[in-house]
Amino acid sequence: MPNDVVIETRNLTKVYRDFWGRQKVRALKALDLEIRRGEIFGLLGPNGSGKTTTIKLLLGLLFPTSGRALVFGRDATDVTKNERIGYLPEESYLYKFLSAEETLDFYGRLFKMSRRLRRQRTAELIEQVGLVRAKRRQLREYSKGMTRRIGLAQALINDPELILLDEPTTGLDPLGTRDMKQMILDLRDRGKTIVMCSHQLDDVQDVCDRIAILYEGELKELGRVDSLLKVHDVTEIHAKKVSDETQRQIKQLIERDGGELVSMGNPTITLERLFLDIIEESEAHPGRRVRGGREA
Amino acid sequence: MSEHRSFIRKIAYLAAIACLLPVLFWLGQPSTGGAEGEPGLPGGRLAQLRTAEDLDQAQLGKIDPASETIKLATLGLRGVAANVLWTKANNYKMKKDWTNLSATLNQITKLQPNFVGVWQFQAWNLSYNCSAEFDDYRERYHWVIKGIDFLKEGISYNEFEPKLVRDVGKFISQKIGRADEHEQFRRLFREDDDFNASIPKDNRDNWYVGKQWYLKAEKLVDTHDDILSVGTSPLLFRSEAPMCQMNYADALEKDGVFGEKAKTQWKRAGKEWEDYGKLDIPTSEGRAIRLGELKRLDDQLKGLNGQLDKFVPGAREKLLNTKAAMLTDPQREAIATPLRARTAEQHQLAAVADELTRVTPDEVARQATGANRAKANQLLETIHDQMETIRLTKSYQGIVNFDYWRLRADVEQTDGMLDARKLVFEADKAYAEGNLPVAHDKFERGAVAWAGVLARFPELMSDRSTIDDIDDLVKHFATALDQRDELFPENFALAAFINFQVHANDKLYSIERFQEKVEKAVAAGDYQTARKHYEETLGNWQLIINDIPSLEQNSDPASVREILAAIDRYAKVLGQLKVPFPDNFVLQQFVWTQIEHDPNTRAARAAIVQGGLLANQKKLDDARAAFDQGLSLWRKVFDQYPSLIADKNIAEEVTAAISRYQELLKQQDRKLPENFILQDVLDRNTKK
Amino acid sequence: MIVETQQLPFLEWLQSGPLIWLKVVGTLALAGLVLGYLVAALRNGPVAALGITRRVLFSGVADLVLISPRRVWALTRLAIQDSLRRRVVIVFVVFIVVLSFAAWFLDPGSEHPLRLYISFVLTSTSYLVLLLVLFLSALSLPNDLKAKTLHTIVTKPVRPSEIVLGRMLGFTVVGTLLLVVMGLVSYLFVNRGLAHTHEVVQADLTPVGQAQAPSGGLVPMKGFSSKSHGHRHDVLVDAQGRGRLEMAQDHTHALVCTTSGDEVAYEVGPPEGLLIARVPVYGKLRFVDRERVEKEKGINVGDEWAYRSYIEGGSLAAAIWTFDDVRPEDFPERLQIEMTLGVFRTTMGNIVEGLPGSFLIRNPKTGLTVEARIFKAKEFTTDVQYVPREIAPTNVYYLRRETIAGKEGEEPQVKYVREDADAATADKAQFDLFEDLSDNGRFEVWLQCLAPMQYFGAAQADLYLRASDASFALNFVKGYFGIWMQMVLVIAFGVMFSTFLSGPVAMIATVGALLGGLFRPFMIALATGQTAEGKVFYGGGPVESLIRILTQQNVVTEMEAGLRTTVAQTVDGVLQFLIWVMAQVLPEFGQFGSADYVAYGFNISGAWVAEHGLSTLGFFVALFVVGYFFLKTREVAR
Repeated sequence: MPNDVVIETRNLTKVYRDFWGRQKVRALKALDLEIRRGEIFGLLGPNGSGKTTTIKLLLGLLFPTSGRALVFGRDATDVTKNERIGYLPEESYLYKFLSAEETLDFYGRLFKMSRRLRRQRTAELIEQVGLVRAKRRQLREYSKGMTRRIGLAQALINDPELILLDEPTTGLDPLGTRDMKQMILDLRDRGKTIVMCSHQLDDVQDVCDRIAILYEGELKELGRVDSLLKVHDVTEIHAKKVSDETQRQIKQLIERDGGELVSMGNPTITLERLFLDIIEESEAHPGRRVRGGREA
Repeated sequence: MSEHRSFIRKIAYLAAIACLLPVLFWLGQPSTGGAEGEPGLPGGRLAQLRTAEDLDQAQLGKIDPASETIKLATLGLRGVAANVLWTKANNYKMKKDWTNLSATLNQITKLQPNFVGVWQFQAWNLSYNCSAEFDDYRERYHWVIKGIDFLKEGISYNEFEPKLVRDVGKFISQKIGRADEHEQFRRLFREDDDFNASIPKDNRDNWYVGKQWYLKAEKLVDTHDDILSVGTSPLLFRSEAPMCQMNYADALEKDGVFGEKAKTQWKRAGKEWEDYGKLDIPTSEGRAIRLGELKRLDDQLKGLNGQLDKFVPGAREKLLNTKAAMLTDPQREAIATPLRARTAEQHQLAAVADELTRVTPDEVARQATGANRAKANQLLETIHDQMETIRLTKSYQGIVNFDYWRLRADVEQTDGMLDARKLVFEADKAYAEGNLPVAHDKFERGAVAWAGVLARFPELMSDRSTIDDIDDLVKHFATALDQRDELFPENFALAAFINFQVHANDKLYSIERFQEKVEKAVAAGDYQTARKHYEETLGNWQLIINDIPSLEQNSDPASVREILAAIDRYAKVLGQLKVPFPDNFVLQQFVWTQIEHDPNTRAARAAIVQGGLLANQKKLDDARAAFDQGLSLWRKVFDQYPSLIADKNIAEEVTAAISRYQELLKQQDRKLPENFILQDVLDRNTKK
Repeated sequence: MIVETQQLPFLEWLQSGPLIWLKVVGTLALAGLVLGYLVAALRNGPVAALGITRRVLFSGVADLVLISPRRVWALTRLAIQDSLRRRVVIVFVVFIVVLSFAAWFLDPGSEHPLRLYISFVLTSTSYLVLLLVLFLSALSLPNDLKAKTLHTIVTKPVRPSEIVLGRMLGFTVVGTLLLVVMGLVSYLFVNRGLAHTHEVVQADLTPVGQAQAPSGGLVPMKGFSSKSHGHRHDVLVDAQGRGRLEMAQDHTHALVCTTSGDEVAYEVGPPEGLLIARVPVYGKLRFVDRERVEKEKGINVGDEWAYRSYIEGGSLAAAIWTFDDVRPEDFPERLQIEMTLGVFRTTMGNIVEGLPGSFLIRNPKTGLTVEARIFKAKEFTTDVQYVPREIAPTNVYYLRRETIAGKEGEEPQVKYVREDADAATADKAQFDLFEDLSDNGRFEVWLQCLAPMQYFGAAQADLYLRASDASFALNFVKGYFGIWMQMVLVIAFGVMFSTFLSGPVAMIATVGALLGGLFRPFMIALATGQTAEGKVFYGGGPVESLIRILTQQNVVTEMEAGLRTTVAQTVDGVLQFLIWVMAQVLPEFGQFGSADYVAYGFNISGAWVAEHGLSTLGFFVALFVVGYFFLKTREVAR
């Protein structure tokens, strides 16, 4: 297995059985997958399609009914692989009676890290996820967002090479989502491998390099995001300061070659884009803001 | 719509609660004690009921926070917890682990302070069972007191429970007074400052203290007579206190307290027994009787019979005569002979005869005719009722020995009895100190005093405890006399009592029967059977002596004479049969004691000793005279006591004297005279 | 003190104890593997199952061996924080409340106050700690699973073995902390509870013997002290002013008299001899009957509880204790013998005096026997008798051991024949206990009752030599060590069950396992077919007795040979072995508590601590491994 393949599954199947061993749900059927180092891989699919099951099988939380799941070349149930893995579950299950610092310190101790490194990374992460003010307070008093962020911090405490994110953006406000996506991209830039499963398609679109779409436990589609989304027979041009005259000439040009102009006009930015711009603007200079039109 | 409906439901619940509250308040409000005496709130209906039925914890006894907490702590499983503790307690008792046992008992009573059975059983367990296990009597006393303290603690929880108070009385009086170790226990009880802190030293007698507790129990029952019963019938319950008073007085005398103090105690005992006699005792037949009124009832009965006779003049005598006529001659003869002279058959015949000639009121009433008949029958009814009451009173009296104790109390108060007891006590003390003359004198005067008492109260002769007391007196006197090698004085005051005892002995009856047979045999000249009967008679006499050992020391001269006479007659029969006196003669020991104290024997021995001395001083003639005198005295003794010839040690003594006499004669070259007075003794012993 | 089970010396125990442990663990491991294989084979075929089992075994070994202390410490810290947070301190508060109300339940006037206080304190502490620890250990893992907090941990490089060990150690640390604090408080409570003094007042004392003071000094006095704590002491003061409050409730007080002018002040010291830890030297007990024929047991006088057997007074019957390797330096100038005798009187006899008895010391090799001391028996109290090193005997003779033919069919019996001492020894004034009367540290103490018709009762632990005393505080700690061991057992069982059962079920299972230990003797009797005392059970194993019941056969007659019988007996053999294993698996929970020793003032021997410590460790390790395997085979994210 080439050394840059981080995760590999060979017809990985998982069948949930009830107490008497009778087959109840075929959660995953013969999944074959390869994820290389340094890419953001998305796992998409409606609820119950086997995304979370796959993640749990990769983490060794569940045992495969048949087939193999290898992480860093070792079997998923081998605990030592976890040294280089970070996992952010959908809801982060952390001890309510510990404060943020204590939580990170506790999870840090579970890794081969010197005390100094652990201290330093705890401070860094708390600062990074913006919980500095709340670092002494017990988790039971945290809001949903804050819990999310401390969950993320504990996933990154050991500077993992492979990070598994389960629905990272659900339940976050647009600002949070933006930060999350930005963080994922930063991690990839630092050579980490990220696997995320989500049903927020636009987030996946923004971030993922390659995606796999699962439906009822079966792999339906696999490939790079951009190649998959490209509509080959339609070209899209974005231009600024285009007078009406030029727009007319462009229209003629297309029709001359036999092309067909589908549409031309001012593009609308997404509401999310608007929302973020306003927030960023008000962060830049607080106080009253002039409402009204805007330029791109 | 739905939350509207749930709102309505909430309102409905609130309303229901609201209207229930006052009812609850009315029922369950706790009663509050008033401050310093002025009445507090009576509390709700339940509280009032509780106070009415005296069930309120406050009324029952002290409220103990520890037991309240334990009751709560067991969350209602109080019964189960108590059972577990009971099994543990029994286990500790089996393993003889007394510390844990008393600790467990403590916990049980905390759990169930008002369950009287717990206190009663475990107190008895401590005082009777656990104390018996210890070897050292001080420890045993300690555990008896522990049992009593346990009861006292029970009383603190159940102030109105007479059973516990009576048990304390019982333990203090009976256990300490009647146990094998009662002397030591009574002494320890007197010195026990912790237990009797509140009682002055001199009346710390366990009977006295026990009596106070019994009186307390009686007072409790009297004040709550409706609901509280003591578990035993009033007959026994009410007799406890007076009995304690009796035992107290008796114990005082045993400890050497006489004179005025003892007298007042016995007087009080007598009075309390009288009061006890006046109590109405319910009987199993429903009617109440009074023990002290038997005499009055008898007189009433006589009066009733008299009235009955008035209806039918002369009927009773007529009936009597007709019945008497039907008697057989032996029966008539049996009735005629006085009681003491009657033989066994006569006794039986007389009993049958009395039965036959008894005239019942029914027969008399049947004689009545015409108008009188109805009145007679009606009178008969009251007579029967009266007889029934008398029968009941007699049987209930029997249960508590009412008559005896009434008599005893009267007797003990008399100066005669007090002196008697005092003298006997001092005599015993003197004897114990080895002061024999004082003891001897006191014993004698004690006997005289007792004789006076017996004379005044003849019925005491057949009373068990009097007999025991006098027996002790006679026995101690006998040992004192034995020390000084003396017999009972001739005019021994209690000789009559001893004689009465001899006659009361059933073996005397068989002696009399043999007497008849012997006379018949002698009359018929059949000496062989006469000899056999004599030997049986003498055998019986020996058995009587075994029963009454003082006889041997001539405590009853009359009986002694009778025995010696029987021996003489026996000797005559042997003479007729030309048979020597048998060696192993049954009354050997008895005869030997008699001759030891016979003046002739002493004189004989003195003479022979004198003779020996004179012989040594070579005054041969005087010596021979002394020997002659001595031997002739021995001859008199042998004649008086024919059986002596068979007594080996006497024979040795006499033959030795004779041989020394022969030596003396040889020195004067004389010989035994032909018809030597003691030839028979010589012949009998030289043969062997 | 009553010692019903015999205490094996450590080395002797070493041969048997660990051996059984290995056998049992081996059987269980084998059974576990076979079972695992069967389940796997059922799930995915025999061949694949083989692979799975092999992999599970290897990873299991790896997990157990490569435990990282750092991660275990992290999990332990977590467990500690978790339990402290769960207001463990409440238990402590309850304990303080119980102690403060204790006064109501401890009756001051009891004969042996130490026993009451210690047993109260130790039992209440053990109940509270065990309950707390039961809740903690049984509920922690299931709660984590329910709250899914375990997922985050499992996704970290944490081996299941580390999780289980972390939990166990965590709770042990919490329990130990609590125990230490409760122990200190209890020690103070006991000391304060028992501390008391008495006043001695001149008025209560009466001079003894001559009335006036001999030479201006004090007059020897006798009397009693004031009453406190439910008892009072007799007081003895000698002429030199040194005094003592006699023994009452197991203790005495020193008394110092200071004369200032004619006024004499008495100052009573603290109670002595109350908080003690005797170091008993026990001997082996056997009996001789009226003709001095050796017997295993004496006469049973009808006691329901056959702990003590009796010897007949006024006869040659005796109870013999053989003491081994008694070193002279332990008893420099005299032998201190302590005994609690049972007395059985057939007649009231002399009520006031105790029954006379006598000690004989015999040299087992030479048979030289010396009558050392006559004493008066005191029942139910620990009677102390001193036998001086140099014994001036009232009676000297030889007791030679002879084997005589047993009555028809019985094996030969041992009889002791008395031979008079030769002239030389007869008039020897003194005999040295160690030179003449013991065969290098081995000698026999014969106990006889001199009152005819009366009986002395004795059990092995009733008479012992009392060497030096150990410190009471140390004994108290060992008492708490007993509770600590019970706590560790509860934790081990609790966590093990919680790995695969839900919270409450795990609790019930733990209590069941520990109470199950109480039936251990019964189960061993079933497995081996005879009770500890050797009473044989008839009727064979479970299957055979079932057949006997159905065919209404009586228990004793042999079943006729045949296929049915042999099958039944083989099945029984397996069943009985399983019952035996089951009996070994369940710890005898009661034995681990040592409250009685401390309460009765006896030193807990090092052997006891070592033996029970090792067996607790054995259980801990076994349960840890079992707990690990359960957690490993369980899918955390079900």
